[in-house]
Formats: sequence, structure tokens, C-alpha cells
Amino acid sequence: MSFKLRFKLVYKLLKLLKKGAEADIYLTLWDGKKAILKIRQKKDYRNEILDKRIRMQRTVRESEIISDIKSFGVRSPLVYFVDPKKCEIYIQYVDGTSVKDLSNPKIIKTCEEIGKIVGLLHKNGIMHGDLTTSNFIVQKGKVFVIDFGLAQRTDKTEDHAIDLRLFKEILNSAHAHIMEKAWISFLKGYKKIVGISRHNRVLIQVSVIESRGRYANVV
Amino acid sequence: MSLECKVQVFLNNLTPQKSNAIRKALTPDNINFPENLSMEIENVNNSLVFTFQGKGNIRTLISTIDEVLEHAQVVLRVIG
Amino acid sequence: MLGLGIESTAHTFSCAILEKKGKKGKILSDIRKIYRPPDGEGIHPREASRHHAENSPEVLSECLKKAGVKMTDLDIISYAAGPGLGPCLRIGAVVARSLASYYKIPIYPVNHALGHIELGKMLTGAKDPLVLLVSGGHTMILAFLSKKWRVFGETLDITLGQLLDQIGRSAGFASPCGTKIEELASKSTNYVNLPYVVKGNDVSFSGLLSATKQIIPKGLEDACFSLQETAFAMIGEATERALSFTGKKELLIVGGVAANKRLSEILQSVCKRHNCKFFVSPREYAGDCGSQISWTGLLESSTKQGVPIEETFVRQSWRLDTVEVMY
Repeated sequence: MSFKLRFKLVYKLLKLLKKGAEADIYLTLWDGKKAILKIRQKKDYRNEILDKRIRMQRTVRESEIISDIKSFGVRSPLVYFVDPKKCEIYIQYVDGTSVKDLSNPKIIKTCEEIGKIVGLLHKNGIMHGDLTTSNFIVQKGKVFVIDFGLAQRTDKTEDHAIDLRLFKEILNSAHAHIMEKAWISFLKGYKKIVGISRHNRVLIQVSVIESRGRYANVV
Repeated sequence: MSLECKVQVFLNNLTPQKSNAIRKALTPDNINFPENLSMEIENVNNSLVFTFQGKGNIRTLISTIDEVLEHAQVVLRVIG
Repeated sequence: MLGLGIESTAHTFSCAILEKKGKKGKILSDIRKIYRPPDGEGIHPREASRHHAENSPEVLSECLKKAGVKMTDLDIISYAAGPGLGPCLRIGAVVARSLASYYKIPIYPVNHALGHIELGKMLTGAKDPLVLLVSGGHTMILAFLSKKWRVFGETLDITLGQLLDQIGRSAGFASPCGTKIEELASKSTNYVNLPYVVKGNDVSFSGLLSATKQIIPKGLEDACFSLQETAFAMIGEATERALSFTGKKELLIVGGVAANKRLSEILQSVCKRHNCKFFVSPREYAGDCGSQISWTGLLESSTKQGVPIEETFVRQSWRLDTVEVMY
């Protein structure tokens, strides 16, 4: 009887917020507080062995890295609980607006803050791996970074350049009208944290990557 | 020792329309040539004259002439 | 409107004639000759261009004959101006320029990648799709936004076509090897662990390439199966991310690798999950062909004049996202 009741209660508090590419995001409660439950669902199109490997790896890595980055002052949601077998994570709910949905002038302004955050991550040997404008949330003027499923511990210039290039690609495609200004603003913030020489080194690598894959036509 | 070389190729007995077609078809690719290589095309009487000049690597010159003549032949074959 | 299209960016030399009535297009003929390098070798640009030069007159005359059209009936001529291999591109351009100047027909340089997209849209009826372009020359995820096709994801190193070709060649097949790999893969269900690298909406195949080469000696069929499963799942995930980011409700796959059944199956499953319509270019027109060039030229001619012959250049690395689409 009591089991049934509990089950019902949990069920009621689950609300699907988003069916993402990486995971399904539910709004739920953890210890009486609003929380996000992130479930990396099995993907039917992926080979089962491969699928299990990817989902577990990302779940564990995400929870570890979110805890790591707290130590050097990057704002991200707290991790409440991790279940690697079920590929589930309970994290703090951040009530705010995704940068993607801000007005153009605000996006440009926020990009400097994003640049600083990315600079801090890189300086501490973390690559985010999925730097899109929808992975930054503004809450009362403070910027939170989410979604560390593709993050990696790495000090390689190439990896940091891949992070920057992806962000540039997103600005170029989804925010084409403000691309120039937003990118300058991002780099300003990034440079403040990592310093001019590292900033230049990473940017050179960005152009190397750009000239590499894209439109290369040697068959 | 670097070789300095000038090669002229004459395509004879062409109607003005055909020689015009060849000229027009080949000229736009006559850009971004290596520094030591040049090509000019001119009409002389009933002939179309290609003048190639090259310095240094003779292979580049040969392969350029090879490609240009191949193109001229393509032009004549497709306009029949 | 009748348009002749000439494709010669890489392996394929092709001429096609299409008719455009209003917004509708009809393929009257599409003739191709494909250059095959010796087994185990890749494409040699100059050799491919010799093949194209040799075959261009017959391909052209066959194309006119099949369409029942005379040169003088044509309203426009289009050619693939890039991106592609220089010597190959020049043959197509030379053919187009000679015809345009001799018969006084307006000429249009066309971006090859744009050609894949436009023909795909015309043949499938997709309206505003997220596009996955997978071929020997490209691996890109694109969406249309204020007059241009924008890149939402792509390969960070080699393309999907190159990955399949290089594996195929190291096993001794003639490129393009996609079909052969698909055939071998279908004979195995034994998955061997291989590196899976997705970075945001982008993918990287170079690690997968070297790891797959190492497992080939242990069993070619298993290697092909595991390679396809890993590479296509990466593409599936990157596509899923781009779909979820852009919120597009249609997905269109174009390019030579679009013909692969397993890839289609994976992307269909992605579409189902995201409640999105799935379109794939018919096998016959997924790869490089004159139709893609002809159709795009016809679309351009609705808003633009032809280009003066003196300015009909070829551009080996002509980026699709620099092309402004006015029609």
C-alpha cells in the first residue's frame, strides 16, 4: 500500500520539459526542491553495445565534471544524485532564460560573460564539447552553463579550438545577424581570462580546423 | 641551371567562330598561373597561336601545354 | 525553360537537360560517365580530368539525343564551378563556355553543394528542411536562414565518403567503396568497439579510420559492420542535435552516401523521435549528376542574368555558405 502511494507521488511530480537530442529532461522534485531529471534514453538506432557504452560514459563524466568546475568558480547546477546504470542524473533546477532566446543586444552582451566562462573552463583543463547558445542560462543577471555530456578533461590547444569553433559555427548559423559583434564580445571575455598569447594560439588553431574539414574536396 | 623556355603552338585552318569559341572557353582559366609561367592566345590570319613561356621547372610548362591543348580539343569536339 | 547542366567536380562527368515550368522541374535526360581509379587507389585529379575530356562529347550528344533537344533549343547552360578538383572542374567549364559562346546561350556557374540540395528538394518536395549532405566531398548539416544555407554541423577532419573509401581501398576495393562496404556489413552483427567522436553538432572520423584499419585483419565483415554502426550513429546523433537546436520539422538527405540503406534507417528513427518528416533523394539522383547543376541554374535564371563568359571562373573551394540564394 505504502509502496503504491509513493509511486503515485513520484509519478505526479515528473513533467517532461524537453525531448533533447542527448537526453530527455524532466522537471521533478529532489528533497523538496525543484530539480531536473536527465535521462539518457536508449537510442534504437544505435547498436546496443555502443549505445550502452556512450550513455554510461557520458552520465558519469557529466556528473564528475560538473562537480570539478565548482572548485574554480564556474556557475552550473548542483548534482544531487547519479545512477550510472539507469543513465540518470538529478540536478538542480535553474530557473532562467536560455541565451538562445534572449534579444540580440542581450546575446551580444552575454557573449562576453560566456567567453569568460569558457576561458575559465579551458584554463582549468576542461573542454565543454557542446558550446551552443542554448547551453547557457541567464538567471537574475548570472550566467549558468549546463550540459556537460560531451565534456572532456584536456589541455590540448586543438580541443579548446574545437570548442571555440563550435560556438562560432552556432553564432554563424543561428545568430547570423549579430555574428560579428557576438563573436568579438565572446573573444573579449575569453582573452581576459586566458591571456593574449593563449587566446592567439587557440584562434590560429580555429582557422586551421576551418580550412581542414569544411569544403575540403579531395576525394 | 634553370631553363628558360618559350613554346608556340599553332592551331591552323579555323573559322573565326571556332577560334573565338576556343579563346573564350580557355581564357577564364588563364589566371593564378605560377609566377614563372605565362600563356598568351592571339589570332593570326586563320590560326590561333598559343605562346607559353616558362622558367625553372619544365614539367609545369609541359603539363600546362598538355592541359591547354586537351581543352582546345574538347572545344572543337563539342561544338562539332 | 530548357537548361543544360554540366557536372564535373570529381569522379563523375555528367550532362543533363531539365525543363522548368513555373516552379516544377522535369528531368528530360541525365547521362553520366564515371571515372574509376585502379583497385586500391584514390582519385588522381589529372587522370580523372583526362577521362572527362575524352568522354565529354559523347555524353553531351547522348544527353541531347535522349532529351530530344537541339543545342539551339536551350535557354541556359549551367556548369559546376566548385567546390571540386581543379582539373576536373575546368573540363566542365570549358565545355559550358564553348557551347555558350558558340551558340550564344546565357551561362550560369553553379555551386555543386547547392545543386545537391536544390535537386533533392525538387525531387522529394521538402519545403524547409534541415539538410544532411553526405558524399565524398562533404559531410555537412545545413539549414536555410536569411538568404543563405548555414552550416549547423560538419566533419572536423575527413568526410563520411572519404572514411568509407579509405577503408574500402585499404581492403583492396576500387573507390567509391560505399556499396561494397554496405554489402559486407550486412553479413555481420558482431559489433567491435570503435571510437565514437561527436563534438556538439560536429563529428570527427580520423580516429575511427585508423581504429577500423586495425581490426580489418580480424574479420572484414565485422569491421565493415562496426564501422557503419559507429560512423552512422555519430551522424545520427549530430543530426539529432541540429534538429533539436533548429526545431526544423523536415530532414532531407542528399549526396552519394544518401543511397546507403542503413544510414537512411538510422535517420528515419531520428526523425520519428523528433516528429519530423523524412526525405531522401532517390538513389539514382543522390550522387553527383548533371541534373543538380541544371536545376539550380534554372532556379537562378528566374532572378539573375547569366554571367559574362570572361567571368565564368572555377573555384576549387567555393564555400556553400557564401552563396546568396535570391530565388
